[in-house]
Amino acid sequence: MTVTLKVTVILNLKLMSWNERYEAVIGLEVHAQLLTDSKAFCSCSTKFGNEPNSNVCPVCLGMPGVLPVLNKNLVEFILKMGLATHCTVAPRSIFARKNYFYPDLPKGYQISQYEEPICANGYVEIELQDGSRKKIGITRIHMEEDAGKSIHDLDVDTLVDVNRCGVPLIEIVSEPDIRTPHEAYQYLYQMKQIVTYLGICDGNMEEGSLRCDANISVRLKGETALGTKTEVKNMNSFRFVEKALEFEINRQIALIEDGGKVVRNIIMGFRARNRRANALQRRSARLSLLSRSGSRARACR
Amino acid sequence: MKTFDSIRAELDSGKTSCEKITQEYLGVIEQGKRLNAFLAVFPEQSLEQARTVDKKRSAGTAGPLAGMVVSIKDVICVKDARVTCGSKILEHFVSPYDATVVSRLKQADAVIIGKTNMDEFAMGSSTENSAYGRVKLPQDESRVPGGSSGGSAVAVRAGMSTTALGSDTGGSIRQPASFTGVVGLKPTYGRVSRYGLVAFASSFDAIGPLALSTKDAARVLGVIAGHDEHDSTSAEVPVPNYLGALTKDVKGLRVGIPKEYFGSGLEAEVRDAVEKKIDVLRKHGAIIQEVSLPHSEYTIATYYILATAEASSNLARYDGARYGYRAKGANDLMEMYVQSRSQGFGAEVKRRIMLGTYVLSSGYYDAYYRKGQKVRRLIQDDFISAFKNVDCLITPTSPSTSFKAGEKVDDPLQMYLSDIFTTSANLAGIPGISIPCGNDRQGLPIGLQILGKHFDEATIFRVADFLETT
Ligand SMILES: [Zn+2]
Repeated sequence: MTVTLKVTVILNLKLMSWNERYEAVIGLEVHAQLLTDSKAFCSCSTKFGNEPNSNVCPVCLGMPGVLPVLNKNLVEFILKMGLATHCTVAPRSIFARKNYFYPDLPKGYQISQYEEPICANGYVEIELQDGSRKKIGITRIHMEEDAGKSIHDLDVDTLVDVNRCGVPLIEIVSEPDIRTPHEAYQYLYQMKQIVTYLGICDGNMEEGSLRCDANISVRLKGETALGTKTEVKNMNSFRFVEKALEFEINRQIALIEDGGKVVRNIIMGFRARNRRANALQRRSARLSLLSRSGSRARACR
Repeated sequence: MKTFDSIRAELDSGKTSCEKITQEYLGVIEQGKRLNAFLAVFPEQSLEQARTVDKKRSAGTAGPLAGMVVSIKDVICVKDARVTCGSKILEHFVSPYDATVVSRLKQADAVIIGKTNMDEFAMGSSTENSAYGRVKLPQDESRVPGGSSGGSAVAVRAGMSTTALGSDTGGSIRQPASFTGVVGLKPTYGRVSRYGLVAFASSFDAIGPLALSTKDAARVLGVIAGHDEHDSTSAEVPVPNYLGALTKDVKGLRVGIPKEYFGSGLEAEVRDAVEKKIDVLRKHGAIIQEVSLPHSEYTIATYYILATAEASSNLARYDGARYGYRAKGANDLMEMYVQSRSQGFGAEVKRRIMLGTYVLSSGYYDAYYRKGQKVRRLIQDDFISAFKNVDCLITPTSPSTSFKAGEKVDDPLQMYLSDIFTTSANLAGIPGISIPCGNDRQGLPIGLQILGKHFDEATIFRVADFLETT
């Protein structure tokens, strides 16, 4: 009994000293699914819960010969978001194709924006624990289309539902200004407030209308160079983002303290399905590690 | 072989009906099967359509193309018909919708008679790259009709339809028009909707007519041109009355002769024939002047970098997952992709996909794709500055007349060079027309190309019609 207690105390002390010596650098990419009635590049409905593959047409199915026509509402929605986050709106903005092969991607590419996004260089303000306010920079906000859904866990085969294919998304990329999991939580909270206030997204993270990926690295306080970052994807609740970041920061610090190196990789599929349980204790069951070289992994959408 | 004017005269005199005309074309198609110009013929549908048009004619409600029978290159979607693109990978693919050009033709009461053979995914200059066999030149069946719209050109030349639609990404309408001796127009980029045209290189592709006369080509363009809400790159520029532009007058017209297009590699007979026509214009009061397009030598290289890059992205969707050919016996997703694409695509398509993927891959993007885009701009600028002083340009369409089947199949570079005079118009987005310009000593047709300013098809039609009828 006494021994156990002692170990706990020492561990806590060790964590304390790590946290004082290190700081985390966090950037968040938030995907918000927009509340437009129709898809980004065709007139199909965006309504959820319909029969699989019923909200489709030749355009979002990627049939030979079709062409995309931009939904005007999508542009209006993203402009609202850009103005609400103090962004500069580009007078000229271009779409780009992100090419990759996957069965839930009918065209073989996702229409997105790369160079010349429509909104850039903004910020939001968050409130810190001590009551002070901090600006978190917004690098860019751009338009893109969602992919479909592959369903693997059936006996038959892989099934694809393309209802969601072409549903408009905006991606909001923050500057690496976030230093603590709590700040990340506050930032997301702000994002949710803004999108729901603007009426462009229902802000429901559990149902996937808001999705968040994080880039995390740690460094000794006072250093200016960034550490090697990892990317944590698909976190589906605000509290869970906070916990997942805490976990990943501690993992990286422990790794460095043990003389190891952080390897650049992508951690997919943190999920808080049972929110009453301590997600971190159950991590081994849910956390799957998928490292991909080159383009960003999409497999677990 | 009848132009639309003579068909209309016969219809008006009551000598014939749309149904009879369609029946005659179906007969010619049947007799000319060995030319392999068609991949699909629609006997029932076309006759039924013709009967409907006949009824409309007696009711006085027929559209402007009543009596015209059109064949469609098999890269353009016709509802409920297969669209193979000359490829095995789309062998059984049936389009669920009409391309905008097809619905406009139908609305104007043209009869759609069938789908024509082509180089696979419009990649080729001889219509030998079809998964369904090569198309033969009617004048000499051992020779090629040009490509990739070889089937459409032969359909018009052999009297299998009044006109045809083709697609032109680097010369695929004009070069076969030249080889077969018909008129072929590539309109300005954005003049005609691309909705329903299976994409090869989206910033180059254009749909245009092939016809026996400039007048018929102008008629078809008048119907298919104009903004379409399904194609955001189709321009909201008013469509003029093209027939009204055929004034039979070239007095004072400023015609530029780009010196780079008359250099080495051009067959002497082709040069002489084109120069003879230039003399005709001069004699009738046109002002002929030499111009320079200094970046011409980079045309083919720039084209093959940019067009293959776009193709590699556009052809990614043919992966066996949703429609089209899927290889049997694959054990996992990657195997399904690799085997379906390896077995479904032909050699030239694979060559261009590989080239394009390389050009777009990270590390090479700046060196090839971005540089290619810059050169494209220079080539465009060449034309824009030339058009400050002239109203149109005249060149040969192709450096040679038709070649023997098999002659260039194993030499892609030689094949690519047969488009050396046509690809620049696609790079610059300007319109170009090829018209017959006599024959060489072997009796093979020579083509003359007229290039115009953006959205000024009217001027090149005027010159083409003048040369054709003078
Ligand atoms: Zn759709």
